[in-house]
Amino acid sequence: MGMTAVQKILARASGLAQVKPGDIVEPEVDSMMAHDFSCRTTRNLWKEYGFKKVKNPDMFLIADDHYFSAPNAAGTELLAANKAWVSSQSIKHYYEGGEGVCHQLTPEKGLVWPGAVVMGLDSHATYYGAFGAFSTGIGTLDGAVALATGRIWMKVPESMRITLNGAPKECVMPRDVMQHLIKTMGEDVALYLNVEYEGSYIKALPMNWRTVFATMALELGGKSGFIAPDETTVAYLKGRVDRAYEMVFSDADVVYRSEYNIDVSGIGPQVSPPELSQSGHVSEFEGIEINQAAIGGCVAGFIEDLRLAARIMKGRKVKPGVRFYIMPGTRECYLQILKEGIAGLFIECGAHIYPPSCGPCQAVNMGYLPKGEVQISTIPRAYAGRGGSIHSMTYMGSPLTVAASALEGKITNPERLF
Amino acid sequence: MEKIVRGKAWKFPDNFPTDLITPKERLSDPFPEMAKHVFETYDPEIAKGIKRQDMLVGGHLFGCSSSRIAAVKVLAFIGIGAVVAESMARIFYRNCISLGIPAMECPGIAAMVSTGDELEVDIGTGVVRNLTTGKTIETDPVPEYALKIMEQGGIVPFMQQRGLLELE
Repeated sequence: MGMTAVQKILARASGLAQVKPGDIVEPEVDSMMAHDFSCRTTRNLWKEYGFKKVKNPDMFLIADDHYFSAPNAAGTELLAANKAWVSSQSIKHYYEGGEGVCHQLTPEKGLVWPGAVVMGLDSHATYYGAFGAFSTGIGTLDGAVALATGRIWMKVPESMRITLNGAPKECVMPRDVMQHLIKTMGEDVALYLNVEYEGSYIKALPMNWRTVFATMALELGGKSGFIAPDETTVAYLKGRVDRAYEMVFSDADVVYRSEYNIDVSGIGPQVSPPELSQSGHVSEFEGIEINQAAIGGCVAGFIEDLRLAARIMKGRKVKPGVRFYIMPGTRECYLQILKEGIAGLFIECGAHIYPPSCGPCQAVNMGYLPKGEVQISTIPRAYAGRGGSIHSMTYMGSPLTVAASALEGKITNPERLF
Repeated sequence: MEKIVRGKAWKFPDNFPTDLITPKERLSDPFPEMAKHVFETYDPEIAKGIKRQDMLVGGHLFGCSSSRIAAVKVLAFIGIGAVVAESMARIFYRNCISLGIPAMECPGIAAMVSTGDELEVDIGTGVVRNLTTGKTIETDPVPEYALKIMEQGGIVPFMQQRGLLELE
């Protein structure tokens, strides 16, 4: 029987001809990433255990993204200590607050390519599988070992395959399709599995939107997500990755743990409470009044999201009293929305633009949701107490649903305004 | 390394997040302090009674949510003998192995253990005995590679001993 792409990648990186699911191997790690918080934990462990030098300091990206700026003394101390450690290790790809969300920056800065083994010190490191790489999150002690030795132990996962064909209405976004998948299949359908996505719907997506599926494989319980690379991938990486790479594909005779074939044409806009398995058509949530709305985070804030949001917001105003926060995912994206007039439109409508960062996801710098308040946001994780009071409520939805809701002051089907 | 662990069980429900082992407000605590408050936001009685060699028994997806290593380091500090659960969030599982805490997935365990039961866990064979009720269950033993990591006391000594990691 043939091997999946992920098996092939792990085999190559481990110096083996063949691997099978369940094998524990020790792949060489091509690149790694962390954010301000996991960098803090890593450097503390580094000191505690007495680690010496980061083996490949050019292949480790750290981005301050929970903080876009230190709002207090404790924040400055954390960031300053990160910076000092980064400097002592000659780490090249260190991005201070405002440059972007860590996951969006890692491929932007050229640390991801087809066939790469990318280890992340954050659970949403499943992001990079969208580029045909093998990528997953590991804890900070494993991370320190990987940084020091260039290797880490990894159990080879089985794969499941999700084939998505058809095309939904233009106002139905990847986030809607993904929430529908989680609702249909459950939050543990992909436990310990690599989730392969393919089909005409996936193929037609721009690179940024493909990442939504890879990243949120985590929310299906998955270990990693994977989308076969193609000309879209190559075009994105051109000028960003300056090394040769080999695209890796699953063999035709692979047996998947499970397979799903879904026509996405009929899927409508979705809204979810904190439990993503409880996601439903927006009509089940319409009318719920909101105090706050946010577009941004690791699965949104892409240029494609913001262009669509601008279309629905043009000529309209945010409902007075609603705080509508928009975080472009990276500085590159921020420059782009300025050039295209989108940023100006957002401000004219009454939205607020915040620096590229995680924004209100954990409310480290801004966006704390107080007791009794309700928000709708594009972030992927919304359990009570994460981004505000344990007595506040966060719903999740696509950038368009969030924008439509901000305009109306209540959860709204974007189809009404599109 | 002693592959048979014996101790009192503490039982937890499905989807038990690391945030309930150590909430983010306590992440900067020194470990002796963190240990005094372990599981406090879930059940303040646990920290008072939990001791060395006691075991955690979880339901589905034990250790889910945040990948914070502090939640596992505090368990190592306390001297938890083993973690056995219906299933475990994979980063939590990795953190246990890397810190030398025996961790095993054992479908069916939740139904046969209550808090206070005396358990005997053989990580080499995968046999779990409830000494209080007399019931026994068998699961896949801890993989060879993970056993080697645990034998050395965790991933750092394991890599060091193989000459792959140099420390100060």
